Parts: sequence; C-alpha cells; structure tokens
Amino acid sequence: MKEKKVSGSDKIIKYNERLSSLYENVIAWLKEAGVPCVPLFEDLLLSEDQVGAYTVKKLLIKQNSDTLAKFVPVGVLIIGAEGRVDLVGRSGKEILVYYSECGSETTTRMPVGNMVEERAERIYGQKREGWHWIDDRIIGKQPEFDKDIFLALLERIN
Amino acid sequence: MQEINSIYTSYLFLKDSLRITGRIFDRQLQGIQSRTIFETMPYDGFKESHSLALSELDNLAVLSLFAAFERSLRDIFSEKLEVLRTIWPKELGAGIYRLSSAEIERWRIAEIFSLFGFAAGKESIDKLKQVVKYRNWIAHGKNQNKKPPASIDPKTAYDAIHFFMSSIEKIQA
Repeated sequence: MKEKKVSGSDKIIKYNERLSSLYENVIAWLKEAGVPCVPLFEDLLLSEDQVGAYTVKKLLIKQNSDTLAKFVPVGVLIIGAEGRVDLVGRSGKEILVYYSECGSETTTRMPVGNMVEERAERIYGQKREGWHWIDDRIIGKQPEFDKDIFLALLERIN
Repeated sequence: MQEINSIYTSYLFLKDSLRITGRIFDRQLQGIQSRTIFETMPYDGFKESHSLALSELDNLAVLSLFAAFERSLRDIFSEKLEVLRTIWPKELGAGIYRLSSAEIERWRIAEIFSLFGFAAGKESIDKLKQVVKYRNWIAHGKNQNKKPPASIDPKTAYDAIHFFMSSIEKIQA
C-alpha cells in the first residue's frame, strides 16, 4: 500500500496536538498520584530542515521554586517515529517518541537451500499508536508511555 | 556484534554515572566534590554543563556505534574476497585480492550495507542511511545551516544496527 504524503505544516499541527494530549494525561496522572505540583507551559522555537521553524509548548512541572521535571519537545522528524519529546529531570533525561499505529513493514528474502524465503518483519515490532518510552537498556523495548512508567521515570530522572 | 554491544554497554554505564553525578551535586554532599571541576562550580553552571554533557554523550555514542558497525561490515566484505585468492595463476589472484581489499576501505558505507537489502529489508537499509546522515552531521561539526533530515538517539541507532547485523548473520550461518 502506498503511504500518503503528509506536508510539513500538517506534521507540525499533528505534533502539537499529540503533545497537548500527552500533557493533559501527565497532569491528570500527577493529580491522581497526589503529587503536589503546578504545571507551567512555555513556548519553544524549533527549527528542522524539511519543515522550517515552528513553535511548540514545553511543559514544566514545578514544585515550589524547583522544577521536578519538564517535557522538552525535540522535533517531528525522528528516525522511525513521528515526533520526540524528552522528559528531563535534575539528574537525567528519558526519550519519548510517537509511533503511528502500524509502522512500516520490511520484507526480507533469505536463501534457504535452493529456495528463497520471504518474510515480513518490523524493526521495532507492532506498536499501538501513541507516545512510547525508549527504554535504553540493551534488551529494552519501547513500551507505551502510561501512568506507571511516568511515575517510575520521575524517580529515575531525579 | 560483540564490539557494538560493548560500546553500548559502556554508554549506559557513562549515562548512569552522569545521572549519579547530577544527584550528588543536587544533594550538596559535603566534601564529595573536592579536587574536581565541580568544587567551585555554581549550581546553574553545573546544570547547564550536565545537560550539555548528556547530549554530547548521546552524540559520541552514535559516532562510536557506527564506527564499530562500519569496521565489522568492511571486515565481513574482506572475508568474502578470500575467494579471489583461488584465481589462477596464484600470483595474479593474490594481487587482485590485495588491490580489492585496499579498495574496500574506500567504498561508501551506505553502498556496502545497501547490498544486503535482500536480507535486511528496505526499511532497515533506509534507517541505516538516516543514521549515516546524522553521524556525518556530528562528525563534520554539526553545521547548523545544514541539519540532518532526522535526529537519532543511541538506542534507536543501536537497534537499527542490531537488526541489520542479525539479518546478515542469518545468511552467513
């Protein structure tokens, strides 16, 4: 099936919508977990070669005068994904990327004796559409970014 | 893959070391920073340098992973050239082998891994081509007027290389 071409401005609109929806979830999770904090938004100017300059929102999670964590958008042109945002804390950062529902498939042809076996594989496996955490351990996968992962990462980055 | 795994494991070690350095600085533990560059560093200066170091570490890891991948691939190609030594007369075969082996070092890496498209698949080859572009951008001084088409983190680069290497190992077995 031929992939539909998406223009640069459409990509930016989608990226901003996906960031807003992520931030809404994060604020709700913090409330549910009883973490005392105040969410603040700041504008961030990004510039990428094929889409030009555009503005996105950065989310800061403030605790009194300290920043507990911040979500810093990195860009929409990401290898194998449709956008990236970094979750940054006082001691480190974690990477979140947006995967579309199916992702592209790759066909390999392996010689087996005198025959050639065709296989369809996905480098990153089948993914549900949404934000995923890049677990950087060697055998780490890219699980969906949910409340449990978010709360665990809050500890990890601080 | 052993060298590539070793580089990636060292990267994780250094990344967590930076994480712990950040935590130590944050907790202002007495004496622990003495006789290091952190001793007189103001908090804001540390935060800025810490964040920069994390980004630079990511870039260095991508460079290093790709360099090891490139070496492995050229070595695999050199081994394939052994067949040239069987050309008769022997002296001619040895000469062709010598010239071809030296020439492999000059081949563009994207052209080499693209030859394995039948085994690794188009998506894998396309991903590696993007990794090459990002790696070249870092290696040539991160020209802000000529940015790479997409950015990449070390784990994504590692996964792309691992998938490719696993695919070609299957045809070599």
